[in-house]
Amino acid sequence: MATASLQSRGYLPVATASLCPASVLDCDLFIQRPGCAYAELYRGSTYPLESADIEALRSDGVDHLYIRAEDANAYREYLCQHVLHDASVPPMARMQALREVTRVAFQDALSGSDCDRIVSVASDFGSDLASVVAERSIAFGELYTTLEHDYYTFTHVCNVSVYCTMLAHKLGVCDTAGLGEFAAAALLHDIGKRHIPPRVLNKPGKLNDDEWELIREHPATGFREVATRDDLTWGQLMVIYQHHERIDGSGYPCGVPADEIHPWAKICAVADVFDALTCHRPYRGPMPKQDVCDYLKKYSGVWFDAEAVACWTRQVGGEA
Amino acid sequence: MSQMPPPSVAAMDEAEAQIDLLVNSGTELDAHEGRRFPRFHYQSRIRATVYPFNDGASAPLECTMLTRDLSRGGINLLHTDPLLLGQKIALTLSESGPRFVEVMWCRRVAHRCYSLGCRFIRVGGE
Repeated sequence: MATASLQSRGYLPVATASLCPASVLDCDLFIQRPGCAYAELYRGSTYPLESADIEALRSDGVDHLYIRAEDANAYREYLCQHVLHDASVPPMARMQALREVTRVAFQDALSGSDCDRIVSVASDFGSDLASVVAERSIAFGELYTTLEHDYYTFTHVCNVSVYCTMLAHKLGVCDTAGLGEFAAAALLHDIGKRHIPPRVLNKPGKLNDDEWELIREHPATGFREVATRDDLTWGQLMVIYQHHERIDGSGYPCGVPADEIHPWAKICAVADVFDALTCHRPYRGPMPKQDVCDYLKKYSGVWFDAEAVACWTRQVGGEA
Repeated sequence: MSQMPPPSVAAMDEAEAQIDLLVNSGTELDAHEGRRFPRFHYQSRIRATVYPFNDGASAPLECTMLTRDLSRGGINLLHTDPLLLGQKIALTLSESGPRFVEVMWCRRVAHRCYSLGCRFIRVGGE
């Protein structure tokens, strides 16, 4: 609530974990003290942050500071320079940096009608995410606490992309290029939802038949939009088109059975449902991870690919 | 689309005339559905050439399809395999030559039976 309020006043949250010791972020940093509705200056621009500062913030439970919205570019440059491509930075911090870097660019691109830009942002994100995931083993528990679970458009597609990449890696996909393609596709999987009115997407109550029909069109709409592009692979197109298909043929838009569904789309279906159910939605709270795993297991081999479910629930179960 | 020469304008016109004849002699479906063109029952077995997605490298597939209904704007087909949105098909509806359609939607209706909603298109810059 406080974060939303500060954002409406022109501040952007930046994760404390994404800040690097002994580095200079070329913009002012603000902090919101407990019980305060406003942000106060924490550190002026050009003043370096030391390890002790960051440690003190963490021990005080301050997981976010704030920057002015107009300083978003400076922050992105800072993340790229100090965090994202520095292998000595822990994977979770790099993952957070990557998310922060991508968030603004992706939301900008989504709000416009420039499909080239959306695909380009997704492609960059996919490459960087794949290199983080392929480099070191990431524990699900740590990952889960790092991610946000609010189901805003970017949060959802970002989470699904991270889950898909991790799951594909665990299932044996080791080449970084392939993982990067899959990560980019997962970031794009809901691209067709851009054409659904927000009043339907964010409706707190039950959807009527017409609204459901609109929702069910998004895989086909997204596919049509990108189908003729030569910078997307067949697998990437199938993630967009088939991520709501089900193993028993009960899915949409086509209702194809298991042998007609691309393996990446099967993985994306598991990640998509897992994130949708564990996120907070306007009409319900998040479901516990274990309950979602039970749900996935219940429909394993019926709606969801059994191998993907088994692998994913092992990851979640081992860390939950 | 280079594997099959596009039909001539005269052949296209004749094919359209044939479609007109068919739709005018049929029984109208869904008269109150608010479609741009009324649909008519048209149940037949026709020859079809399915072109690969995005003009891909594989050869076009010759096959037989079943028709369900027809309008001036498009045709509903039944096929054994799912096709992708945007895929092109050449249909032999009459003696006058092939008529091209593009898949607009595809839904499975039974085991190995997919319903294809297609619209008529012109190809080859005509």
